[in-house]
Amino acid sequence: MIIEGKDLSKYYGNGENKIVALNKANLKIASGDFISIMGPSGSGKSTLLHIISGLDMPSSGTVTFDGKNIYEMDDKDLSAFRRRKIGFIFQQFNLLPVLTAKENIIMPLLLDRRQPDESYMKQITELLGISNRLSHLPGELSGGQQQRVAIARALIAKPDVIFADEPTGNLDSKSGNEVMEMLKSIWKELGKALVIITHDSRVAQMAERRFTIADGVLSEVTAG
Amino acid sequence: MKSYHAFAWKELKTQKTTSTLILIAIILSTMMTTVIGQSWGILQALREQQAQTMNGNRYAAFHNLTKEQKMLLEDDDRLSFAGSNITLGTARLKNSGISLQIKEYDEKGLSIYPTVSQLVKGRLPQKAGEVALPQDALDYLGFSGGLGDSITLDLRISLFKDAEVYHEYQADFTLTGILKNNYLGYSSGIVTGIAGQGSAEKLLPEKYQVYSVDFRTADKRSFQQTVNSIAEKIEISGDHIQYNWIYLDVLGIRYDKEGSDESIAGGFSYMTAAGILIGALVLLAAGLVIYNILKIAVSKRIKEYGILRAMGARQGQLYRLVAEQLALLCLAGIPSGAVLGIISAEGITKAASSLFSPEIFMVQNTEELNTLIAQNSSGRLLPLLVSAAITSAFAFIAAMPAARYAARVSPTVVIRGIKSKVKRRNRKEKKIRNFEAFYARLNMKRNAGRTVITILSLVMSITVFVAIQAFSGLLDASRELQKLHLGDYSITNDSTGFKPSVVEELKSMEGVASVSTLKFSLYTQEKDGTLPAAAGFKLNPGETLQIAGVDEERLKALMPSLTKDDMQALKEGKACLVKNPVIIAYEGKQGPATSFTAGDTVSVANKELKVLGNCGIVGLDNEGFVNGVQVVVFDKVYDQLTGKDTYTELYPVLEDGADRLAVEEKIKEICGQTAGSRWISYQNTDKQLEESYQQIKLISWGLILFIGIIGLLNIVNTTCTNIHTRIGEIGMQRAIGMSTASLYKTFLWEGAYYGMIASVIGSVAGYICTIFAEAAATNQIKLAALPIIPILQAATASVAACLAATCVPLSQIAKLSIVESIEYVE
Repeated sequence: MIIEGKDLSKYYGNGENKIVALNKANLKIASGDFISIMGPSGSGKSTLLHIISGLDMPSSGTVTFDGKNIYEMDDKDLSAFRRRKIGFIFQQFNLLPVLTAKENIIMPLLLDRRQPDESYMKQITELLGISNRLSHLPGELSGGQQQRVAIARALIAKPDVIFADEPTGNLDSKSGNEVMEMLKSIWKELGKALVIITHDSRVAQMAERRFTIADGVLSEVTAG
Repeated sequence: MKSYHAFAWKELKTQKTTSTLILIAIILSTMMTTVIGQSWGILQALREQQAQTMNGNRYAAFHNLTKEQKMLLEDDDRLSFAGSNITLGTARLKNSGISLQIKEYDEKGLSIYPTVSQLVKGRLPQKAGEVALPQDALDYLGFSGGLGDSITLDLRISLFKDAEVYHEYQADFTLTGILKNNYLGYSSGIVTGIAGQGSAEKLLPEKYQVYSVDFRTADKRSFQQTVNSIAEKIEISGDHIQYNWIYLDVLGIRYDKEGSDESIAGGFSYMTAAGILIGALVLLAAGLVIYNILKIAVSKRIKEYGILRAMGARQGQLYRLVAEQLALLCLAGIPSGAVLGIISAEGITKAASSLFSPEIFMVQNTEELNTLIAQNSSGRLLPLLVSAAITSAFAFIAAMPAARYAARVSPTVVIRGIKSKVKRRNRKEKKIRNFEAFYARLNMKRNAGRTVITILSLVMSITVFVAIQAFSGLLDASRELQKLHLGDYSITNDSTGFKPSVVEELKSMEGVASVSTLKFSLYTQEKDGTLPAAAGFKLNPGETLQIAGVDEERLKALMPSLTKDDMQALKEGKACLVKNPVIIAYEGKQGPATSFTAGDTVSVANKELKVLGNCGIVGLDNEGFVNGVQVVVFDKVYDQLTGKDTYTELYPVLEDGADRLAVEEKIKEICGQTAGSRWISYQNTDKQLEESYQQIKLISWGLILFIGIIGLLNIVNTTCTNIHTRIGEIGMQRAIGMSTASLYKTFLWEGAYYGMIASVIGSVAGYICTIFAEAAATNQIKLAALPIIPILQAATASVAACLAATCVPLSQIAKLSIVESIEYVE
């Protein structure tokens, strides 16, 4: 699996009001990668994640998945790509408040007209420590538990890559650490690619490959 | 910004969608109330026209009057109209089952019967010996001459309650005009011909020169007192008063029915009740829309209201802000709604009336009918003001909860941010097969209040739809007249009768749904008072014995109070119903009359029959009542009493779309096989009546359309709101791979559920209304037939409409950016 973003740019507004959110960024993600992208607020890191994960179209440049331009796909195929190949973890958790934890987790499968693999479900919920909270509504869970449910949801469809946008941003430091440890062990155990957006240098340090972004310009931090 | 009141206007301008939706709701509800107010006037006028067409523009008639009595009536200033006529006699029209009645009218007398006096050719008679006859009567008489030719009529006349049987004579007339056929007369078996003035004096013995005076009272409210007082003054008994009950019912004039103490309120009160109920449902539906939209609008801006409260705004000021927004919208919506309502009411009526013959409403052409409608639809300021006031009142009542919510908001809570906590009781782990449908169900429960209101407004529409079909029956003044005949045809043979095999043959014929029957025998007394049939009782002079055998349905119709045991007794030949003879007055004195009441026993052909009660006349179609005792028994029992098993009259009822020509051929064949048979078709009669009913029905459909639009408005609003309040969720669902099609399906499922639930509740409510409508018409509560077709129509239409209404705001979803949606702060 290879996701490759080439010369990705994103502009907002026109003329004097034109804002460059992302400026000719290049990023290649392969199976098993653990990538962090760090930068201050408004630097363009979320924009990059949205574009590379198929949520937002770039103003210029291309995103390919195994050589196929994802923005040339129609809504049906692009939705299927997000369902099957990508897992998302958001800062705000973004769970559906009316669904139980279990229903939230299996939703990507249900959208794909599939039923969950119960043993896999058990494996990940036990790994995340939420197997006894599955019948709870999001409002009945703590922030850390909600984020674990969101991680389980990102994993349930066995995607190739998981994108996490400030996954610890809404958590206290203890919960944040727990979540990061979990993500790291999942990455090791399941062998998925993991891309984390963060402004926390400690979180960024955990990754194998590290990028920084400032004023829309992406650059890889080389070792040493 | 000079005052804080300007904030109301600014809010309206900012929330364009909400403001537009409320404005539409106000316009529609004003339109509705205006249309109801205006149409009701038009409908009432049309009903009056319809009733007048059927039985003349008169409230009642006094019969058997002398010239002096007639003149007294003409001079009585309590009567706003008095027109007279004299009956010259009736001529039997061969092989038709109908009779031609010749009447001589004075000028005023004829003016109230326009359907009788419409000329096809020639002119109305002007002097004695001249006559104008309907085309069909001339055909039946076999008249081959033309205008100005002489025509001989065999006439016979009898007086009401006269000991003498009748007077028969032959008279020659000069035909001056050919009248248009009036099929309505077929129901009573009589068509009318008009004789020139002076004919009665020239042709009739003095005894038979009696007048009938049709009249209208000046004061409708004291109608019955006026009639009683005049009757007393001119010394005539109640038997000689004939009430035009169809017209009286339409006008809502109270009158005494068949001399009983019971005063009949008339159909108008039911109609008014129906109108009020429909109006209330419509207003409630519109009110719910306004409530729903305002509540949502205020909820969306609740933070602003919290800030205003924090800044020191009083509760009253916040109430005022919400009320002012509504007032501004009412100011724009109500006048527009009223104007549109007036145009619509007139438009609907004109469009509907253009489909039917204007003659039904006693006017000559569509232009006249339109003038009539215009007269009744314009210049009704009071209903307009009432509808404006009602709509405003409902709108403000509907706005109250929203205003209260805004006024009572806690500033601290709002500023901190309100997070509504989602509750869900049912968390059973079931396999989710269709996520979209499952999620739609959850969403409906999650916004229970909104869901209930949306469904309720749809329920109103469906209830009105189902109920209005029952009510429209009440509006139909012609319905009672249609009941006068049992089948689509009447086939008579009062000599030998029809063999049972003929009935079977007719029943098995394609296109014939059912055949009602009558077995009838009439026995006159011998000179010594004995009867050919062995009757165990003695009759008074001049009375006859009549035995009628009818089927179960007709027995029930004759006496609806019959119990199962009564019916069983009737079937076993242990019981009967009796129609007593009319009391005859002879030379001013009332003669003796045989009388049986419930509980008596009558003996016929050595069979003892318990009288279960007194019923109405059972006789041959279009034959008068020959005075006597009628013993009505079950069909098979008749055979035992009379020793005959032949049928006197058959009433086939056809299936929809039956081949009438084929049936008529068969009837002709049957009549040809049995000598002395005759038949008559009620097709034209029913068609003429049905047309006038359709007119009323179409106006009702106009009302349904409005309430339907209001219901849909609520769906559009609810879906819009659901989208707006779930933008973040939608974004997240899209992010994790939900396609737009799948998202559409979720909302469409919600729409479909609204429609399905509403159609079930609405159908039940509509059915209950139907029961009450039937009860109003029959004066007794019983389970009405389930209006399956209207229910199915309503269910299909509501689900389809819900889906269509949901599609409108769905286009917004496609435009939503996933990223912006995720970042949207609700």
